[in-house]
Parts: sequence; C-alpha cells; structure tokens
Amino acid sequence: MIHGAAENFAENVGSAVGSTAALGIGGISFVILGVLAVIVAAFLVTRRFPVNAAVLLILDFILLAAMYGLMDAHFAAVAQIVVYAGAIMIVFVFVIMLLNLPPEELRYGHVTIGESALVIVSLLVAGMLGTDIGRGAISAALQNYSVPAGKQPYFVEEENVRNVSALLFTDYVWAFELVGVLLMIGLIGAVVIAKKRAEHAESA
Amino acid sequence: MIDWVAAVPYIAAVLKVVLAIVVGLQVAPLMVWLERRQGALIQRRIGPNRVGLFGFRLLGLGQPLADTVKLLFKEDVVPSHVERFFFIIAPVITAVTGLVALSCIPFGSYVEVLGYTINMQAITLNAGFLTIFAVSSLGVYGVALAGWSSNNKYSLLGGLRASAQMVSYEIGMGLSLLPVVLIFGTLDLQRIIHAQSHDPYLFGVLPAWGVFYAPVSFVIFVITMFAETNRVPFDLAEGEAELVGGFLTEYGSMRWSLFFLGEYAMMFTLSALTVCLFLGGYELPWISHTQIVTFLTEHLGRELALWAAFLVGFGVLIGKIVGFMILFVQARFTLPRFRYDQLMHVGWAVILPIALVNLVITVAVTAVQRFGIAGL
Repeated sequence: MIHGAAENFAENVGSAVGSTAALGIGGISFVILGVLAVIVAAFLVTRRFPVNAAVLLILDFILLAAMYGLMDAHFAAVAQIVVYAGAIMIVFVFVIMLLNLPPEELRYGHVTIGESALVIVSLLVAGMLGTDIGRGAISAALQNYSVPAGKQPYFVEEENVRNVSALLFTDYVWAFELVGVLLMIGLIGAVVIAKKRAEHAESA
Repeated sequence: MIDWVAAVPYIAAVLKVVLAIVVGLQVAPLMVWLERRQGALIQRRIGPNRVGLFGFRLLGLGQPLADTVKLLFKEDVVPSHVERFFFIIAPVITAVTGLVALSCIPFGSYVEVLGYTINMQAITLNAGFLTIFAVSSLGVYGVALAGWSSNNKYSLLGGLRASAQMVSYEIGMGLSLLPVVLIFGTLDLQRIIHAQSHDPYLFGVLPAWGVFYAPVSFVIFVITMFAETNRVPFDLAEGEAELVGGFLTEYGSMRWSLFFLGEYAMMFTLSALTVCLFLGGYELPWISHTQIVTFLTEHLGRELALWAAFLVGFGVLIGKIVGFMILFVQARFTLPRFRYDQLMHVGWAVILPIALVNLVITVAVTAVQRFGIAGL
C-alpha cells in the first residue's frame, strides 16, 4: 500500500514533468525544489529581522515558480514571479525599509496557549497525513488532478497563455469575473483611503 | 562512453547560454567607451583616444580593458556600518538578472547540427517574452537592497526612488506591449519575428514590422525603457546634486561596476526586445530569413547556409541594437533630468492613460479585423 502510493506519486511527478521514466531528471529536480521550498519556508518563519524574512519569502516564491515551470505551466511560473515575487513583495520590502526599525525596537510577544495549541493541532494533522489513510487521500487527490487524469487542453501543442485564457473565458468565467470585481473593490478602497489622508494633510 | 550525437541538444543549450552571457559581458565595457567617445563628440572634446592594443590606438578601444583591470585591482572596501550580506549580494542580483534576461533573446532563427534542429533562443519558455519581464522585475531588488543595506540616508532614498520608478513604469511598459501581442497573436518572440518578415507589406512598401502596426506602443515602450534602466532623463536615483550617488554611494571597485554591468546588460536586453517586437529582430527588411536560406542552399548546402544566415541575422540584430544604444547615449547628453514629481506625473497621468486608450483601440480594431463588424 505504502509502496504503491509512493510509486503512484513518483509516476505522477514523472508524467507531470513529461518524462516517461518514473522519476526522470525533471522529477528529481521537482523533489529537490520542493524540499528546498519547505526548508526555506521554515527558515523564513523563524527569522528575527523582517528584511531577511522578506528576502527568504521571495526566494520561496521563485522556488515555487520553478516547480510550476517543471510541470510545464510556464505561464503560471512567470505570473508567479511577476506578480508575487516582483510586484507584491517589493511593496513589503519598501515598507520594511522605510520603517527600518533597529533590532532592539522589534518587539516579540510570548507564545500564548492558543498558539501552542495550534502548533500541536498542525503537528497532529501532519502526522495524520503520514498514516495510511492520509497517504491514500493524497495519492487519490494526485490521481484526480494529475496531468493524465485531468482535462485535455483546449489547444494541444499550443502556447500556455492560449490555453489559460481559453479556460478563463469558458469554464471559469464566473470565478474570473468575481475575482475582477474583488480586485476592483480593493482598488477603489485604496483610492478612498489615500484620498482621506491627502485631505487631512491639506487641512492640517 | 558518452554518446556525443545524442548529447548535441544539451551541449547546444549550454553554448547558447554562454553566447548570451559573453555578449552581455561585452556590453558594459564597450558602452562605457561609446558613452565617453560620443559624449566627447557632442561636447566638442576628444575623449579617450590613447589606450590601444599592441601599439595601435584603435580609437581608444583599449580604454575599457584598462578600466576593467583598474577596477579589479582596486581595494575592495566594505564599510563597517553596512548590512554585510545584503550589501554584497545586491550588485550580484543586478548583474545576474541582467545577464539571465539576455538569454531569453533569440539571436537567430535556427541551425541544424547532426540532424538536430537547434533554436537559437537560449531560454524558450512557453510564456514567451514574459520571461524577460519576470527576470527584470526581480532586478529591482538589487537596487532596493543596495539602498537599504548601505545604511545611509542618501543610499536609502536613492534606492527607494529607483525602485519606485521601476515599479511605476513597469505598468506602462506591460500595457504598451499588449497591442503587439494582440496584433501578432502570440507571445513567442521567434513567431513574432517570423510574422514580421512575411510578405504582405504595409501599403505595398513598408516591411510588416510592429513599429508600423503599433507606433504608439513603440513610442511608449521606448520611453518606459529609459525609465526601467534608470537612464537620463530618468536617472534621479543617482541625482548627484541632491543624493550624492544614490544607492551607489557606498559602493566601490568591482562591486560598483557590477551594477553597471547589470544595468548595461538590461539596456541591451530591452533594446533587443524592442528590436524583436517592433523592428523585425534579426530579419532584414524586405529580405526574409527563409529567402536567404533558400538562396544560399544552392551554393553552400543546407547546414552551411543556415549557419551563414544565422551570422547575417546576428549581425543585423546587433546592428539594430547598437542603433538603440547610440540613442541612449544621445539622450544622456541632450536631455536634462526630470524632477521627481514630474517623473511620477508622466508615469501615472500621461503614459498609463495613453497606453490604456491605445490598448482599447487596438482591441477594437483587431476584433473587427478578425470577426467582422459583428466582433464588436
């Protein structure tokens, strides 16, 4: 059972990166990138200085993008870097740099009971995933969403972007429009907040 | 025993990246020389004309070599008050992103080696030229981290200015490229270049280049290109009168020149991208790559003909890019610097709306052209 699940996983990763061997060079790179991403994420949440954490987060985003790229989702990989690593994180880095708090002014709270309870629960969940039941669920999910079992692309042998946009404007058009509305609300909110502050500054 | 024939694609992949890096590394020294010579010409001076090689002066072309040797042997000072790790890594980020972005440029069409067809674009992701934007958007961190890690007010302000400017103009740049994507219907640079070499000339005369299809996009892209590379008139980051040297203040010797290496490589990459999108890339006007290959195949055989056509195309591409480089230098010695509020005004209140209107008009025209008037 366990062996089967592992083999399934290897096969899925292998087929995800388009190699016929169970774990070709692509699969091996995928596993290495995944392990690295987890290690970087662990380092990220334990850093004391915000800039170190931000840079590690950028690194993590790049690793994730590389994993998308290995699964032939090149557009998702590029979008991940442009949007998350490029645009969103630079704003975070700006804020951190402008505040530029000296280390002694950074305050750290103590770990509360609720937080430790959360840690224990998440460890339990991680343990559950390690058991046979958990493994079965993971491999079933992988079966359902793996490349061979998934839906055939609209345009075979065509550019990524064409397929992504075909999906966006047919199958997922409502979700796409809703996300558009959500982003619009965020945009309007930002303008309103900025405008209020500008008026304050003028009257003061 | 290694199967060399089967290894051809892998060797080719490595060699193509090496080609891009070698080209990228030559840009900085040659551009410094060009900048000093052309600047001298504009200001009626002589400029560096002494240092040559083996007793020949060569218009002072030995100068960049001498400069590089000088920079390499200078003492490498890391001030004691800086964030050491980020201070050291920042110039490396700028240089590496500049060189990686250059590997996404197609230097030629394709060649055939031992039965393998080798695409002369080193990095061929399925997302086309968006890869260049992904890499160049990471380049901002080099500047931002340099400003912050120097632990110096001038550096921080310079770094923030530069990165804010790069982020603001990225939007106009992206929007100015969307019409080109719509017109050619693809993101793949090789296909875009091929589409531009096709026979139906505009009005029977002009080659089918992007610049004639989307002139507004071209102008906006060139302006944003100047801003993205922090060149005059957008070089407020180094405004020496108010900010000493901006984010470069605390840097010296080779670390300082790594920034220049990265920035010149990025200038070269963006010029190359402009050439590929708007000016037909490695294709000559009126004579397509296919025609050259067919003509040469009769005389040289197919493999050699493809190599010869590649060399011709490479020369054409470099020639077009050099034209842009000369434009960069000409602008530097002609235009005064923007004020910061003017810069932000131009970016958000002029370029962005023009690019948006341009996009909407192009969408309407493309829809009518593809689906008739019912497409609207």
